[in-house]
Parts: sequence; structure tokens; C-alpha cells
Amino acid sequence: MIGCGAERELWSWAKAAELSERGNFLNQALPFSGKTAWVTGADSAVAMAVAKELYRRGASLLLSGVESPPEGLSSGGGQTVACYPRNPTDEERADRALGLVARLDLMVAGTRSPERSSIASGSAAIFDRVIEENLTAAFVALRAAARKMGRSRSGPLLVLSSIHGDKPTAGAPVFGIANGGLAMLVREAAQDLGRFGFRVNLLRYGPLEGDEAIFRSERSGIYWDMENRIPRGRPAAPEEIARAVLFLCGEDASFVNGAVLTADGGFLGHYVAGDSARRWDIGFGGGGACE
Amino acid sequence: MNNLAGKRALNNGLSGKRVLITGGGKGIGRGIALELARRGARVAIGCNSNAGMAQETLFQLRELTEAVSVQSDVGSPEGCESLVRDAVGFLGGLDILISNAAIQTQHSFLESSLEIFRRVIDVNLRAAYLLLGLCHRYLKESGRGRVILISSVHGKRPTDFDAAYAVSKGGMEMLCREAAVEFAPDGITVNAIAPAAVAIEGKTGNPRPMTVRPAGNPRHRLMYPLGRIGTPQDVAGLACFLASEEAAFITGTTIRQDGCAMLL
Repeated sequence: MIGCGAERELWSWAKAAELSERGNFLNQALPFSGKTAWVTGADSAVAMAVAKELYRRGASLLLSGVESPPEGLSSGGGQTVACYPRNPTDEERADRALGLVARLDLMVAGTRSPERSSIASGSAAIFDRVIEENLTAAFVALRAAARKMGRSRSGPLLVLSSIHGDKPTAGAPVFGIANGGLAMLVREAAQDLGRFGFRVNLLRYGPLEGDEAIFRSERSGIYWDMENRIPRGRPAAPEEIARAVLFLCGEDASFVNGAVLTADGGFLGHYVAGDSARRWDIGFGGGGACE
Repeated sequence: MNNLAGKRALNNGLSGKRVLITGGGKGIGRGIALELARRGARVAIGCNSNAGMAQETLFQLRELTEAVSVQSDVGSPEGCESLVRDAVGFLGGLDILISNAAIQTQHSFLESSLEIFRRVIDVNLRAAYLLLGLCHRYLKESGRGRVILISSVHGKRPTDFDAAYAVSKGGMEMLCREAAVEFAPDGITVNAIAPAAVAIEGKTGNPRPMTVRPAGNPRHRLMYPLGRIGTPQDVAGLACFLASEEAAFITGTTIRQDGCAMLL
């Protein structure tokens, strides 16, 4: 219980020591030096960008979802890069991947595998495939990573998700459902693992180059005229998402747990389909340009 | 118990509507089935492990309307198919689908396992997804199809005692939105109800005994500003509204029904 005399003093002292250590940490040129990071779904652009940023800042890597490290990521100079070809959709795959490294300090679950379908013509096969890749893999990875780290190294755990955990895809429904599940998975894990010092957070990213092709649907206008719906006027580069991920994995986010950070450049802030269409004079039920 | 219907002649235009309710044998599903029956709907209830209670519910339903009980495990795709086939066969079509069946195993994130996780997702989430797909053409034929998903406040707020359950309800929030967008051109509305604690007989799949505290327990004042937890009749009233003509322009939304407990 914090609050009375001696305990309060002890607590302030411990806090000051921790903050000063953190200051030293921030001053390091390579803040992830000596740490080993597990990145799953490394076959996706954002997860790979995260891996590259972590590597650039000194981390050793364990990559799930790729056969071999891409160019520029190699073992040497105190850093190692290990790969396991399959994503952790079951415990055996997770354990095999984790068997390749001696220790683990942080984890980024980055699997992203949307599949175009409809609910009306849906099947258990589609549902199982998409849920397994996007949701079950994160459940398995979080548990396996926490086990591997143990209490002594309880570190940051991050799950990559999508704005489609909030906004329907209208063309890849099970992907939306999986991302809805991820938000709750992270909140549950943040409670349970948080007691051991782990931090579990979720990063939802918005439009990337090529997302129009994946998500565009005749049922929804949100990817219609995509670039004009993003205030910046362009989709994100995977490296921009990666840097937000590194913030959540770093010491600057030491009290951030169970949070959902959206990195979509303001994409979801747009109003309704007709709004941007009118503004850009591209005819959505008439209207014309509004300057 | 049935003063909701007793005081009102109004049946919300639900008379003669054909309804399928999964997990209709007990708890919230039973409450909704009985209320819809009182308002003149024809009802098919699905049940699995609670066949005995479903039989009792069926007797009560048959005093009010034409009703049938179909036993199947919606955790399997075949179970979903046979349920829809038998229910639609009995009803001669479908106007309202209420996906309510769910299990709670009460394992926290660390206590859970991949096996538990998969089973909970299959019963609580995949079943709702598959039933929406299987019922789509009947709901479209109906011309004013209604889907009501029984979710939970744990689709937004963590439980800290049942991780897989919360994940399944988080997924259900998105299933509701995805289905609403996809089914809207066919005149079908899809909504979800998110109750907090509801006083029912016991939860399916829960290996631990659970005491349902009677309404009016002083502790509830701290958790439930209205001084009590919810009842199946509370949920039934909202379900009947969402199924009614008055709710025709409400779709893709999840209504929190918790006596504002989640605001504390």
C-alpha cells in the first residue's frame, strides 16, 4: 500500500532511480542493442519494416513467416537474425521458432492476411483460415512470448491490427472480425500479463499503398478515392507505421498498457462517401465542386 | 414476469413473424423466445447441452404460439446447417435471426489454452457468422429481415477472467458491422445487444459454480447504479424493439444494456 510515510518515501526513491536509468536508456544511440525481438508475420510489409527498424536500432531478430532474412538483415557485429518459415498459428510452430533464440526481450505480432469474401457466401473454411492467421496466431504468439521471457524480462508485447477492427471492410468480413477480436485479446492480455510487468498494446494502421485493391468494395465508399480521404493526401509508408510501433515498444511508453493507437493519417476522420467526392468534383450523385 | 406484454396490447408488428433463436432453452435466449411468443411470433429455439431446459421452455412456448426446439451443436458447421434446415423447415421461412448461444469457460488469458480458445471462438463467434450466411437468403426473401446478435459489454471492456469469451465478443462487434453493411441492400438490419451481468440460471460451459446474486443486493449499488443487474426480460424488451418496424433504420449498431454499469 502506497500512501503512508516510509512507504511513500521508498516508492519515490525507487521511482527516481528508475527514471534516471530510463534517461540513460534514452541517451543510447542504439536503444534496442542487446535485445532480441520476435516479429511474426514478417512476410507482411509493415512487420518487415518493424523488423528492419528494430535491427537498425541494435536489436537481434527472430522472424516468423519468412524462410530467410531479406537483404540488409544479417547476423554479425553482435546482432543475430534467425528465421522460421511459418507463423505461430499453433503452439508447436511458436515453440520451434522460439527454440532458435536463447532469450527474448520483446515481441511484435504482425500477421496480416485479409481475404476477400462475403458473409452470405461464407464458409467455415474461410473463417477458420482468416481467424487462424490473424487472431489465433496473435493469441499463441502473446502466450509463447510471455512464457519465453518469463517474469524477469517481462517486456513489451505489441499486436499489429488494422482500422478494420473498428470500421467494416465491406469486402473482407472475416478480416474485420479477426481485428475486432484482436482489440479484446490485447485488453485481456494487458490485464493478466500487466501484473507481471509486461505491457501489451495494439497498433491499428490505416491505408497503405495497394490497400485500395485489397479492400475496395462496391458496398462501401471508404476506399473509393482513398488518397483524397487521407488528409496528408497519400497512404502511409510501412516505415512510418514501424516508428509508431517502436514508440510503443520503447521505454518512452513505459506506462502505456492495453492501449490502442491508430496510425491512419486521419483517414477514419472523413465523414461520408459523398463529402470528399463533392469536394474533389468527381461526381457522387451530382453536386459538382465546392471549391 | 410477463407484465411487459400484459400491460401492452402492442405487439410491435411481430405477430406471425418467424424467428430462430439459438440457445433459446434458457437464460437470455429463453427470455427473448417467450417475449416474442407473447407478441405472436412463431419461434424455433436451438439448444445443445441444455436439452432438458429447452423442453420445459418449449412447453411454455407452445401455450403461446407455434414453436419447435432443435438440438444441435452450433460449434460445428454441420450443427449450424442442420439447425437452420430444421428451423426453416418448420417455420416455412425466416424473418428474424437471433444469435444468442454462447459458452463461457472462465479462463483468464494465462489460464486459457489454444483448445479452449478455439472452442469458444467456434461456438460464440463462428456460429454467428455461419448462421448469418446460412439465413441470408431466407431473410432476404422475407423483405424485412432482422438479425440480433447477443454480444456482451465484454466486446469492449476486458473481463480479466475469460479472455477467449471477450475476444469472441470483440469479434462479434465487427461481425455486426460487417454484416450490417453487406446485408443492407437486401433490407436486412443487423444489430447487437451488449448486456452486462444478467440474472440467469447458470452459464453454459462454465466449469466453476457461479452464484447469481439476487437483484437488490447492496453490492450492486456500487457496480450497477440502478441497484440491480439485468434480467432476461430487459434484454427481451430491447430485442423485440430491434426486431420491430420502429427499428427499421437502426442497423450495424451495438447497444450497451447494462444500467450504465460500464460508466463506472
